[in-house]
Amino acid sequence: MSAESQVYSEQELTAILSPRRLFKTIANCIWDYSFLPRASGDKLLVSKPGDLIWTPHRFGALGLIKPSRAYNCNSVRVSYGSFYYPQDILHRGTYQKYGIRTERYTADGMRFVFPEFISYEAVTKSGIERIDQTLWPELVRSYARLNSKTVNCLASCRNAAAAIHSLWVELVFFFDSLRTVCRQLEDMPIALEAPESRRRLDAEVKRAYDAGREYEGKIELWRFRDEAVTTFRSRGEASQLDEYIPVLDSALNPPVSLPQMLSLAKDIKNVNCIVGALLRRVGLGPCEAGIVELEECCDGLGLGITFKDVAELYYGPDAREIAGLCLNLSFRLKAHCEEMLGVTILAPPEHYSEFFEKMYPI
Amino acid sequence: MKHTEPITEETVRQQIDALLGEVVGVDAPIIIGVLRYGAHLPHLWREARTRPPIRVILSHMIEYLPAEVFEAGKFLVLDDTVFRGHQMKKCRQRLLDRGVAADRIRTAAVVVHEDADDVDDFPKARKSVLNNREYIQWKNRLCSLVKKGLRPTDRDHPLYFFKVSGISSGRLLAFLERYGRVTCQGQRCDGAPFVFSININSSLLTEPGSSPLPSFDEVGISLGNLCKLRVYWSDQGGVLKVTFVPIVFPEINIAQFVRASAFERLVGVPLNDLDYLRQNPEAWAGYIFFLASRSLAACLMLRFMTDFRRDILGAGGSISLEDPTGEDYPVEYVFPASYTRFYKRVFDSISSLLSTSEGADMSALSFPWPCAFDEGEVEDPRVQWPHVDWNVRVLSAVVDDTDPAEFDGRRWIQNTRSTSSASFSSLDKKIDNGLAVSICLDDLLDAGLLRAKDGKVSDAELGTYARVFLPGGEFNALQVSRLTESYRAEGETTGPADIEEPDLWVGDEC
Repeated sequence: MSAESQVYSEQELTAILSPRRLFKTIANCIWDYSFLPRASGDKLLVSKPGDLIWTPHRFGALGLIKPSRAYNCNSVRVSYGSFYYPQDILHRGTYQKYGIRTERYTADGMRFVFPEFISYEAVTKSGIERIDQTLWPELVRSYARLNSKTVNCLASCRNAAAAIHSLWVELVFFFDSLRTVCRQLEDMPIALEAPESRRRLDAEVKRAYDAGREYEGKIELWRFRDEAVTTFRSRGEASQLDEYIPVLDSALNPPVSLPQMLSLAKDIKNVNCIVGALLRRVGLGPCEAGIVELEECCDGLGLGITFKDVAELYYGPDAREIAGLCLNLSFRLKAHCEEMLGVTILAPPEHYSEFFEKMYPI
Repeated sequence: MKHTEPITEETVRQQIDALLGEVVGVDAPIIIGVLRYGAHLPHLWREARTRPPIRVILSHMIEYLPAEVFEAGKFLVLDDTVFRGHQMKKCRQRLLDRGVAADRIRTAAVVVHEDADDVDDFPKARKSVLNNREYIQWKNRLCSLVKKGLRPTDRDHPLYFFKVSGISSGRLLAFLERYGRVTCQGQRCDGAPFVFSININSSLLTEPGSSPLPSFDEVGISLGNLCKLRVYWSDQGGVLKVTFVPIVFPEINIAQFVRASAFERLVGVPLNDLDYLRQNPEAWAGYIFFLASRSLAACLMLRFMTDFRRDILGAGGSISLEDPTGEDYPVEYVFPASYTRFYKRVFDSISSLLSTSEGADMSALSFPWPCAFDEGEVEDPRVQWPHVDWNVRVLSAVVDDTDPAEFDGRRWIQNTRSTSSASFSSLDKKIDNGLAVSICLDDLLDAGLLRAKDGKVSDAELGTYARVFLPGGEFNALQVSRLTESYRAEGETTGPADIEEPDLWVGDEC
């Protein structure tokens, strides 16, 4: 990809298509497609994007599948009680008939494989409206060649409502993973000695740490938003949709304001650094913060934990005591966030239930 | 008088104030501070600074002082608590052995256990008698009170006081990491100063220039694998008041050491300055070990300070050495003249090191310190095997198969005939993890379950001496007995390979 254009060539595009990128591209398309009739003043009366939904996820906003039809739950996994894994769904007959499949090409890497083309006969039989057959591919093409940061930014933070939901979901996962790992470590520090338990604890700590870091990442994306819109509009590929996309407005006013969410960033960063560094001392997670960085974090934190408390555990790493302090710190931060935002931070499944019931913006 | 008030740090302090106010006011005796807390009490006395200086002899120094010290004046054997009274009696007997007449010795403790023998005789009217529960509570309150002060209680090691400016606590810790494995020491306590240990590879002392001795083996010194620096500090308005306590664990064959004329070279004091102890060969040999081992620790301190000073200056900070008499005031410790000369020599060396052309040698080639542990070794044994109670393991290795307590037909008491003790090297061999031993010793000494003293570890000519660790006295001896008995009853804790995979994960991993 050339730095100037910030878009991918046809060749590069085929090489980088991962599920993650696909879901983020779809998230953008869902948002635009949902708002096209409104944004175009009903000139473009496109259909709803089927079972695809835009959702804030711990990987950033994704286009996921929330099927209206029921599948046999024994063979289809449900994530957070709401989403089906696309790779499972794509193995079902509905999609297989178009030749779409998934392919595992490394130990943990998955790629989608699409057919070179779908026959006219199959497209006709699918019952897809003419307008959708024309505009949906145009829309997908508009996003497909943008660089990852721009796609991420527009998927997660194209407007305040999306940014709030994206930040919110990181908070939910940060607290949930932290609580899970600290409770288990506090109850049974012996889990550190069994390889499988240790691996799971390590993965959970990484999840919490990533969520904390992503909170900052999302704020950066929000600050990048205007630049991302400019990049999108100057991508050098004309489309009849250009007049309307990317759609930046939202139909929903979330219950908290973006400045409130932004004001929490420093505390979340400090707590994530402290907790990450302490858990790293018992061999869990990826945080590499040193003692000087910890001191800076403690100095900027007003949650009743002193640098001395942290330093003593940093150099006297007792797993149970570290878990206790981290749990305590996460509870205090959660209470502080809830007080600042005036809302309760729920666990992931409850979060998604409430999200779909009350706050689904599209 | 039966104790009825709630026991708080403030009430403990009031009791200390009341006792010291009374005992020091009478005859201005020389105080013999029994073990760590007994010697520490005068520092807790709030009115001390308004009174004339208080002369204190540390109990481990009794045999090393010249006879003149004991020829006149009154002596007060002072302890914080009396459990059964063995320590108090023992200390009194040592004074009698030094020729102090019985009528010149008085004893005092702040509180006594209800089962204590009637050994403390001053001032009886104020004596608080505590039952078992109250006694433990009182000890804990005192312990927390002592920890809140910057002054460490391990006074049988020389202390070096510094002022560090322009450096934060975090930066200081980051510097300390360069010299060895930094560990947190003892039980944590709110409001207490920072207390850490740096565990250092003792092969550092064998490097050329680290000590005045060409070879340790030839002069009868065998060093333990680790040595350490205990570091205490508090941040006082941006200035760190830091106390360093260097500790080395040598075993010294006294006869060989003396024959090789190593004493004067290492300590910087002529050996004949110790001739007044010749009548008591055990005290003479013990004191030689005391000065030699503290001199090795001073070598560590100097070696450390050479590089540490560069770190501080390089970060834009400054460091200065503080006069110990000012730090000790209003307590005036009574030391043998040879000790004072030794300390002054080290003090002057550090002062001169810190004052010479500050920052001028910043560009000097700085060699890395030898790594205290092999590459890839686990950070801390407590992390690798959290299920192992390392402290009890070390305790058990100290007492071996002997019981530090015995049943006298009515109750369990300290077994005064028990000789169980272990040097650092022997514990290192038994536990096979030097860092674990070092960390546990810090914890156990801090909790009072172990105590340390200089002791003879072999009966060779004049003996081989080492720092040895033994069960805590009286009340703590019983605790050690209970803990180690449970450990023996349960057998060795299962090793990592025997741990079953705990069933922690009930939910689906998303």
